[in-house]
Amino acid sequence: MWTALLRLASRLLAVFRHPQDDAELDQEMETHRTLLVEEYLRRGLSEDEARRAAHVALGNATQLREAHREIRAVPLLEEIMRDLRYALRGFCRQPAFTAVAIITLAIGIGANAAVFSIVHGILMRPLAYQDPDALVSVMRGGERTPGQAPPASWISLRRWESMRDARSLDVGVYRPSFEDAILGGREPVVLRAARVSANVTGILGVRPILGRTFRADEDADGSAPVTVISERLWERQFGRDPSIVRTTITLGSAPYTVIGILPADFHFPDRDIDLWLPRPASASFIDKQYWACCTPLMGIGRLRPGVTRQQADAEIAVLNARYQPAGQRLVDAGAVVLTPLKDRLVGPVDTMLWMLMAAVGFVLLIACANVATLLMARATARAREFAVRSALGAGRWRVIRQLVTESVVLSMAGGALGLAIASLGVRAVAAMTLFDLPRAHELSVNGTVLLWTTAIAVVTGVVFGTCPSVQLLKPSLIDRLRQSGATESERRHRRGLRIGARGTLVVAQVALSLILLIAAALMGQTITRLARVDLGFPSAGLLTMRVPLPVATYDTAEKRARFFDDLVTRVQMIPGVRGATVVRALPTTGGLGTNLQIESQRIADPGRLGQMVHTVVPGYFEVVGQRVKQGRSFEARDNITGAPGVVVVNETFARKYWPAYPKTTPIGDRLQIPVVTITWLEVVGVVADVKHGGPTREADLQVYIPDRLYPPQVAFLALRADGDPLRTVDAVRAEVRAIDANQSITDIKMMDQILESATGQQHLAARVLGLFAMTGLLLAVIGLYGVMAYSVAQRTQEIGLRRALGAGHGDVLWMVVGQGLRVTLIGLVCGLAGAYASTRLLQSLLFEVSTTDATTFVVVPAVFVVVTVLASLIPAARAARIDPAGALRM
Amino acid sequence: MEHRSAILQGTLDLMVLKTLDAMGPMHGYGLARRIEQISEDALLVNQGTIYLCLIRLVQKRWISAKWGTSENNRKAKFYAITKAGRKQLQAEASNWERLSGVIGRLLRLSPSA
Repeated sequence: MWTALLRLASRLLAVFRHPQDDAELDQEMETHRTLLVEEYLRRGLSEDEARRAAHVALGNATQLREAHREIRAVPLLEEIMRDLRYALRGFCRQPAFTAVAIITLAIGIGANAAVFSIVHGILMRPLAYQDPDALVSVMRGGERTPGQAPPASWISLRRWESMRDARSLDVGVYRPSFEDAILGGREPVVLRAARVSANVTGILGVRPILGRTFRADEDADGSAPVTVISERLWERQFGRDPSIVRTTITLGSAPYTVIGILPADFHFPDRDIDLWLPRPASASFIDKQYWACCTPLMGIGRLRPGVTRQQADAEIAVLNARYQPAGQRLVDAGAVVLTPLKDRLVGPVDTMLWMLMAAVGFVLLIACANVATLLMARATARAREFAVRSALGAGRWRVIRQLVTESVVLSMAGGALGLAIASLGVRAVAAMTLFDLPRAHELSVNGTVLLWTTAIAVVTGVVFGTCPSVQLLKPSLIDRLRQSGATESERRHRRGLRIGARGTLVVAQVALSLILLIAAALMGQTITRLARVDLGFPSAGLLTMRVPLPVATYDTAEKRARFFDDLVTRVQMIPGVRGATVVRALPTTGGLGTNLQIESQRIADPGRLGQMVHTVVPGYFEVVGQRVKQGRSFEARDNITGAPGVVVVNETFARKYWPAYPKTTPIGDRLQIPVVTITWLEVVGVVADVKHGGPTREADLQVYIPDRLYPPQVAFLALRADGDPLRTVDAVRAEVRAIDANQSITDIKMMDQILESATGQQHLAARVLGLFAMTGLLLAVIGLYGVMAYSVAQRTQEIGLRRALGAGHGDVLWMVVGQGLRVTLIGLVCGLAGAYASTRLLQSLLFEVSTTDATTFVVVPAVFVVVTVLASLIPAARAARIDPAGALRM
Repeated sequence: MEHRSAILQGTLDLMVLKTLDAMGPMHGYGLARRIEQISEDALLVNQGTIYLCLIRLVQKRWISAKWGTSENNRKAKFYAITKAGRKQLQAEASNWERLSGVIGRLLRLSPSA
């Protein structure tokens, strides 16, 4: 078994060594052959016979070459095996050292492999669609600037139609976010449905595993309702029954025919879409008459074969010009541009991910420096061993190879353990709900990651394996053999101020971990500042859920209004519920933008979609906690059909149109909101601003109208309760079912969760950077401690001598701490310079914190100094306790 | 080739060393011919096998190799015995003599016993 393994290994090794050796052998054989042939010719054989005879006499050349290779590889292999055995024996004798080194490396390599899997899976790997390089995003907006997400705005159905006949590319459209579809049955479930134009599946190049995808005519109004479902839904709901194709299922109380099934690994436009529907512009939140002009859509295109981006850009430019005749105002005016689809999808996160990659590289460097320090200490302690070996005939190269072998063994072990850490980390990130990372479902620890991990393990092994070797190369090994402890420390003392190789490593560690700490501190401040932003209402304790009403059964405003009225009344009766309300859109979840007229300041062109209209039920302001600044809140009488129309505006709105507010007041004035109704609505109150766009945005112009005027198809239910509000969820679900057995709720979340995911990138970056920075600090402090402890151990005799000559406890203590401080300070200066240069990478993620925030740049290094003093106090105290008499007798 | 018995391999090694010691540097062809003549094909399965023996001896540093020109004006590696090789040859030779003496005595003894 063992020999078989050896032979296998030698064969493998021979592969690396053969080219030149093989050529030499071939040359030898060739000469041999010609000599043989000449000999046979002399004996009177014909040329042919001579050649054949020579061939027989010489034997099978291939077999010979193989055997030759194996023999050539044996000594190298034997030496490697010997080195390995020796290394393992050494590590077994020092289990503590080995464990510390392997765990340190595992952390460094593991974190690297994890972040690399993410960077590779999201930024580097081509998109998981057929021929992804030809896919472009077709949106309005400018070219992307480096480090920023490409700016983009939606396009309309009309706009899409203007591009349908383009010759350089096929364009399709889809709705950016999924919509809720309630699958009827005994237990109604809310599914994620995507609206796409019929040609999108063709553009993406996905083939159904059963049935077919959409036909172009199925996009047309009035065509038979059809749907394509995902393999996951097929499995979950229909037990992979193939007869589901061409049968009818109930979605939102309306019948839909299933025409095909798409494979489980197809995700578009979001992950885990359950089913796809054609007719992209038919949105439940917009009146049908506005679908063609105003339903926001995203465009996706595939360049036709042989067409370049430039050619497509040129054709789009022509179409742009044709779509924007001068003077005519369109809601989706502006040039359409083509961007590679991948940039569009991952652009928003690439800065953050590269930043994390850099950070994790620092962690690895710190870890390596630590292990290098450990190995150097170990190598110095083994100086005599090496000297003996070299005296017995081992070459310098031989000793170095032994050291490199040892560190490669260490880093491979660390790498293996690190891979386990990485796969845990990647799984955690993929499952994370904090922030919707694009392509997260594609993440895995795959072959490339394996290769990367092996590569960094080997490179770190070789690089920091050579550190002790280099040190050993300097003084002659024989000198070392002669040296006694006294001359060693003497030499050390003579070096005085110089910090030496170990010191240099510590300086690097301190610098790198300071950069990480400063970055983490900046992100940490961003998070606290984000949390401190007053959104205009107390978000804590507010439970939210989405209630999607199917268009088919809730086709009139009357039906929808009645449902929501009922719902609020019933939920408020649930024991423990303090208040419940219904609103069209919660802060950070979008909303309905529109134009309007103010009676006192009529303008000819009411213009942009600048105002957000919120439809709320009476009691909304009270439940959410939005203060009424002037006038009154909505009352029950406002929400009755036929009641006089009223509206409440926010302070930003009041300030914009009544600049002297609060001295002048909008109350009593009237607004007309054409989307809602043409009747004039009287302003009855002004409420405090709510930062609807999230903490990083200023409050926008907002008007609130009673729900009855324009009841939404999809609304949020929000409630506050005594104790844990999540305990009321089952009761709420029961009430929903009591009103309508086919109805369900979805997306049950606390308001704070919603807000957190609105700034999820910052939260994610802060947490990961924080983790890395703490790891880096810990490793750097361990490294510093190790170096100090080792140096004290080396200088025991010297310190004893100093004590004997009259140095006090304090002198010795200060000498050691001072040495640690000196190294730290040099590291801090380098680190500060590095941080100053590199924190601008964080720019786009920071909020109300400068990239060179002065406090951070002072406080973090100060903390670092305190920590290093503490770390060097332990060895210093040990040094101070050295008994002079004992040390001198050593 | 690795299946050949150790004794045969040792014998071949010894023969190569002895030949090189006696005749000076030689190339693979010359050695193969020489050994064939002496051993009457008992030791070499085919002439190529000599190169496996040669590379082993080079690795053990008992012989050294140098490129030169063969009698037909072609590049050939010439092998020469080294100092370590001579020492090894001496040791092996005396070993061999002792052993063959023992075996010889044993074989002479057996029929009369």
